[in-house]
Amino acid sequence: MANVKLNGELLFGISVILFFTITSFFGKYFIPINPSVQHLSAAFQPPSWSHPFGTDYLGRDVFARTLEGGSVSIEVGVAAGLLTVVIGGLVGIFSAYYGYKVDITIQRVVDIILSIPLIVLALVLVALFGSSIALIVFAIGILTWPSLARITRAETLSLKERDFVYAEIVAGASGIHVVFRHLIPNQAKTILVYSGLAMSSATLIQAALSYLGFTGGSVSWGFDLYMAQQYIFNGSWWMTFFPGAAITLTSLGFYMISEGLRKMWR
Amino acid sequence: MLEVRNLSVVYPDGTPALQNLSISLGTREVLGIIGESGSGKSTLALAIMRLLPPDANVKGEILYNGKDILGLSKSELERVRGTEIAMIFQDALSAFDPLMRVGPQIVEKAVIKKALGYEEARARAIDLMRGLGVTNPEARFDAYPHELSGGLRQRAFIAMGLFQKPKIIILDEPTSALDVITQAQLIQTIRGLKEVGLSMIFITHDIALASTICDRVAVLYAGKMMEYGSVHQVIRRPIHPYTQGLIESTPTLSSVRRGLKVMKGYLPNLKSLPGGCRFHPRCPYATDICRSVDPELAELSDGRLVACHMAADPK
Amino acid sequence: MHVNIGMAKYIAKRLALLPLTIFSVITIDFVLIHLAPGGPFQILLSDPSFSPQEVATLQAEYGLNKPLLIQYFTYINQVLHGNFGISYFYGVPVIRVIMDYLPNTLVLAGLSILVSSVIGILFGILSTSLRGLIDRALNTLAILSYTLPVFWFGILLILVFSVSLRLLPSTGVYVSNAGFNLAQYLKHIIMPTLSLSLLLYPPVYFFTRSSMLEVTQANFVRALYGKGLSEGVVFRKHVLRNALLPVITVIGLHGAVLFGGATIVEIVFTWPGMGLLTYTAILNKDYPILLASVFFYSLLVAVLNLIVDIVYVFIDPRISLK
Repeated sequence: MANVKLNGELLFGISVILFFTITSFFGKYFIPINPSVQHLSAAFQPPSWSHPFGTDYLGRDVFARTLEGGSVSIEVGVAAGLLTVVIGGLVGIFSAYYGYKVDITIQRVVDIILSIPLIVLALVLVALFGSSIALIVFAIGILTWPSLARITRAETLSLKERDFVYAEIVAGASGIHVVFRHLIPNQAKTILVYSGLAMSSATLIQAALSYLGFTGGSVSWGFDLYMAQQYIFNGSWWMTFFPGAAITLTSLGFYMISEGLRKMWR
Repeated sequence: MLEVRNLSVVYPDGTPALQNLSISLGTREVLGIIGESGSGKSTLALAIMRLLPPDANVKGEILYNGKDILGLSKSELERVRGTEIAMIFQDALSAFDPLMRVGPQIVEKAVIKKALGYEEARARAIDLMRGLGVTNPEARFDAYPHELSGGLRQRAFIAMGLFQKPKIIILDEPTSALDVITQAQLIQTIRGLKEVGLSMIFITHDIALASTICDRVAVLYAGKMMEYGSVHQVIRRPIHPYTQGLIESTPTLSSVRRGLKVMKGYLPNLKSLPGGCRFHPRCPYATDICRSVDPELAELSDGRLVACHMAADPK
Repeated sequence: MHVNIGMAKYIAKRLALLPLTIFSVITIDFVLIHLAPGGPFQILLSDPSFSPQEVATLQAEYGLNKPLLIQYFTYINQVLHGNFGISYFYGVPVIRVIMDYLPNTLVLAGLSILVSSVIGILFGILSTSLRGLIDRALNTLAILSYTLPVFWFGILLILVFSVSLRLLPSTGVYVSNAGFNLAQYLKHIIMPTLSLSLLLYPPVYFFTRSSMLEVTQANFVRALYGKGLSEGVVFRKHVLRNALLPVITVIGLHGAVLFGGATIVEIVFTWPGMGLLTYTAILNKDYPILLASVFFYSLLVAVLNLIVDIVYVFIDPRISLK
């Protein structure tokens, strides 16, 4: 990776993700307000000095909840994104490398998975197997890898034709060797760019799942939005706005990292 | 009829495509522009039609019947294009809208400008195609571009160019994409146009081809004109070393035995031209002055123009 | 438009591929039933009021005590006959429940495809024609729409239009039981459609934009100007048609996204479609409906792709099917 030129997108993306990572995982050490403390008498307070983002239906401070509620989203975003990239990348490359029957079978599987809406399958999996974070990461990873597999497969097919790869294959190099020494490094940039996109989608899917009640057990922005909707006719717009904005920013952050990388390596 | 004066074109990325080019075209005359890729020949054609990208730097004058094309308003330009001057380029497939049938595209401008009713236009187009050697023109009229063979498509393209009865037609490598036999047939057809009284600018890299059709030729190299005169002068008795080289390296059936004589060296990168005469690295006669001073076009006693320090006057 | 015998053959060939997808989904469904912890017995045994004899009878009734392979083939056979079993929760054949909810999803999806296509194409054309600041603004807007959670957008819409302005209803389809009322139906569908369109328009926008850029650089555009045609004619008659033709494929590609998004939107707005049905089925642990739901979603996506493919073949004259 010769030139690492920072650009606007990259800077924005990294800052946002870094910000939320710090506040969600370490916020309890320096944010004065406790996000879980309930003051039922002070519920539904609009934004003020003592509560910059207002309070929610249980009197909890929305500011603290927003800043610290990102732990699940970021965890799942990164983990699922990586899972997607690893599975999708390897499957695509191997599928194209070995070709013929292997390729055709894998292609069919890809097509089938792509024809079922993610949310539906994720919901079914979560319903059947429970909603732990591990399962959510697994479910999202399982469903989003096909898109990357298509891309790496196409790339690999064209790389296979190139002389240096062909020479290795003819010389008898083992599949693993060719894949790890040549096919992957040459596509590293594409894969990395895609990982940002994968993390972005993973964050959104996780938010949707937690909105529907499958939070994996912790504070999560999505679920806050669900409760906000329950009380929506109260007029407490701050309960809706801030968690949602946080999800958007996080997802946007990953997307910008992806865009930034793409522009940097253009 | 058409006079190009001191035309210089620099593309937005800095590439000097044409330098100080001047040519003229009279009535019923076929002017050949000969050059390899990068010589600027296509740029010249596009410049005349004002089809260069809007941010290209164009200097000079292109006079058509006295009026400068480069100074025309949009509506005047629309009138000149197609109706007065038409252009045919190399790849006929990419010249047609792939989603529309060929016939309607041939008659498009006339019908839109309401110069002709559709039925009348269709009949005329079919006649025109038949005259150009298109078999079964009624069916071809309703065909899609991809349904026609290369040769037919090129003829359809020519029909599209001729439909408005232009005074001048510019042909940019019209036969390069075709096989030899189709090429020969097409050249026949083009020669027929000459007889009808059309003025043509025939652009090609094939000097032998040019010699069969053109009255006068201009030889271009890396954006500059090297030699300019009648076909007899330039091709029978070439004076510029580049022209000589082109002729000698043209494969003919006899050279199969004698072996091909190829010019040494490579085409220069337009962005970094050699100092002095741009041809000197490949020229067998290059001397010190060639390496330092870029030769101007000079008129020789037989009336032709040559840009070479070593040009020996034919007299 | 052009039709020939090749067209019929192509359609037939595409239709033939459908069963493969369907069989695969059925298999996945079947695997899922038996993989779930507790398996198909789960719902039965989870209700302690069932006596062991009742459990045994129910097992026999649902054929759950036969060898796996036989169960598989019986299942396939059932599905092909439209028999998805009886809903645990509603107590009526699953297929009937699905048919009650499916049309609403279709309407929502159809409208959203329409709205998002119009917006996406319009913005795409504006972006390429006007360039500069507008292009950047629209581009940023599309990225933002892409990263915005669709359910949040829905809730925001409710906040603005139902809570503050009291203009639109926030949930469901009907207000009264006085039969079908078109005006009411439309009022209820506006916000869900807008939400879903937000999800779908960015891909259409990006693709239209790049397609237009590509076409305007194409050679034949130069030839058209060379003929002396005006910019307006070239644009309207040639560029637009060529650029917009492939956009329809984008719709096909995003079939899964479309129906997935519809699911979420339906839940947010309590719109009675497949999504809401699936969600309530999960909450009620109504497995027959869940599995039928997965099947139908897959079918919907496959049919959408089929329609897109066929339409594309009709309108692009370059595709000849000999």
